[in-house]
Amino acid sequence: MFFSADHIVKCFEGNRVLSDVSLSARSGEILAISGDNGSGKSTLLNILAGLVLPDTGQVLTSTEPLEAGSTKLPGCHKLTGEVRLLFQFPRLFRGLTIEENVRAGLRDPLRENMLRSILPIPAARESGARFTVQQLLKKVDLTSLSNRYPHELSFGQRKLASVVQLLAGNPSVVLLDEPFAALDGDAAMTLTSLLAENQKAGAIAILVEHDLQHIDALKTPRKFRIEAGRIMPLSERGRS
Amino acid sequence: MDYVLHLAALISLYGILALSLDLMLGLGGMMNLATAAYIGFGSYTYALATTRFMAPPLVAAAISIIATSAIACALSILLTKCSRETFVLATISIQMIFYSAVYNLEATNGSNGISGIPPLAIGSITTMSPVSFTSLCAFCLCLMFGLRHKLASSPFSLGLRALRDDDVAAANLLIRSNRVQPAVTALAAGAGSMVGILIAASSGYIDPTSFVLSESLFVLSCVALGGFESGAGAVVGTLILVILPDCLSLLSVDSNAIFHVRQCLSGILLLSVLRFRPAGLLGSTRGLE
Repeated sequence: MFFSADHIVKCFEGNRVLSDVSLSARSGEILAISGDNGSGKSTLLNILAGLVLPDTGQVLTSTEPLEAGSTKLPGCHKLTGEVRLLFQFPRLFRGLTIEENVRAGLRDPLRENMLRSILPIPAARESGARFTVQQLLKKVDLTSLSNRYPHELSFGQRKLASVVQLLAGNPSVVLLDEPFAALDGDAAMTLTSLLAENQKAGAIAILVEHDLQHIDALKTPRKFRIEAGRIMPLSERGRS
Repeated sequence: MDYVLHLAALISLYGILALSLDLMLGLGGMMNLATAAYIGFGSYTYALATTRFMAPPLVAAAISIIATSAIACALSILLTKCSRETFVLATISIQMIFYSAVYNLEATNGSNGISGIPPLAIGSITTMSPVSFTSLCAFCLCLMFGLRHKLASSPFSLGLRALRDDDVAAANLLIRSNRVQPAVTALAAGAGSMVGILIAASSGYIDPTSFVLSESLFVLSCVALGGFESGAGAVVGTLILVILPDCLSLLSVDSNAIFHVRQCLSGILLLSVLRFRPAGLLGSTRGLE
């Protein structure tokens, strides 16, 4: 699995927020992008997620091999739903319990198929889905809160619930917008281990983060910085 | 006895409509004010198929339900990208267009309506007999209640409720509004059409005045009173709003004023519930902040 953004340009009301941004990643890589407030980090993630259209440039995914040294993907195609975004502020469904929220993240075709939903669902399938959801909630220590609604949880708990909702569908590309913001030490460690697990499973993770300490904790060699709408490798000089 | 049967049939028919609207609004967040248009489309399709094209009543009923569902589904696909406000306005427009069309078209006999509509008969059950008709209506209500209950606890309802709460977050999880919303709209329209067929087949006559916006608003009131996202709530809301005004008949209210007194009382009741219990009498409040 390969993922790339080619020559992305985005302007808002005449202000160029992103200038010719290109990046690519392959299975199991974590890309960490830092930048100041208003530098265009979130805009870039929204474009990568397909929620905002770039003025020029394109976002591509591919399952075909990438030639060494090439930034262009062979046989590439547009986004196919393999990409999921963790919003900066958790956007759980307020009328669904935490368990239902995570279950909504599973790739279950019945979520969209009314006729098949009316028919009896095989018990094994139902219990399999429940088991998966419970396992995910266990990882973030939310099992005891599975029947609560999002507004009954703290911000950090909602963020962790959002992460497992996202990972429930085993997406090939995970985009995370300031995932560590407002998380305490334990929650941040849980999130770091979830990302490491996701990386081992071969998924690509691209995250933008204001706090460089969290980026260092991820131990990824692929660190970037966005400055004045341009993306560049994060050097020691860039940290000052 | 006939009065009680009439009341029971009325509750069943409005109950079906309230349950179908609850599927759209309570679970799906789609404020649909074209319920009367669905009923009317079902009625007119059945009436025209049986009187003009001499189709057997059961065949006409099947055609009517399929046609209403298909048209509602197609319209819903066109409206999936609309904002909620636009959706409400669009459904009011559909309602208005339907009323104007049947009122003015020669094919629907304009304001004179269509008479001589044959009854619907399934074995020994016929819409001509008050007992059979009420039983059929009650059976359809139970069927709709069961269907709503099954859907509300299915994975499909997760998709429906997710889209209701946050369509962008739902799209991020690959829950597509153009798959989910048209399906539930088609089901609600089919239920509306079924009610329309039962009305046409039992009375033998229909005219445009039965399918006006105030009917859609009445169904909405039933759901709002009983409680959103609650099947029992939809039925209880209907029960109260259908029976309560009829209790006035027992009081010595001037017969000319009775209609207006009913409207006022229903309005006051609805406003009181919305003020003191916004989720409705039996609606769930757990997900509300």
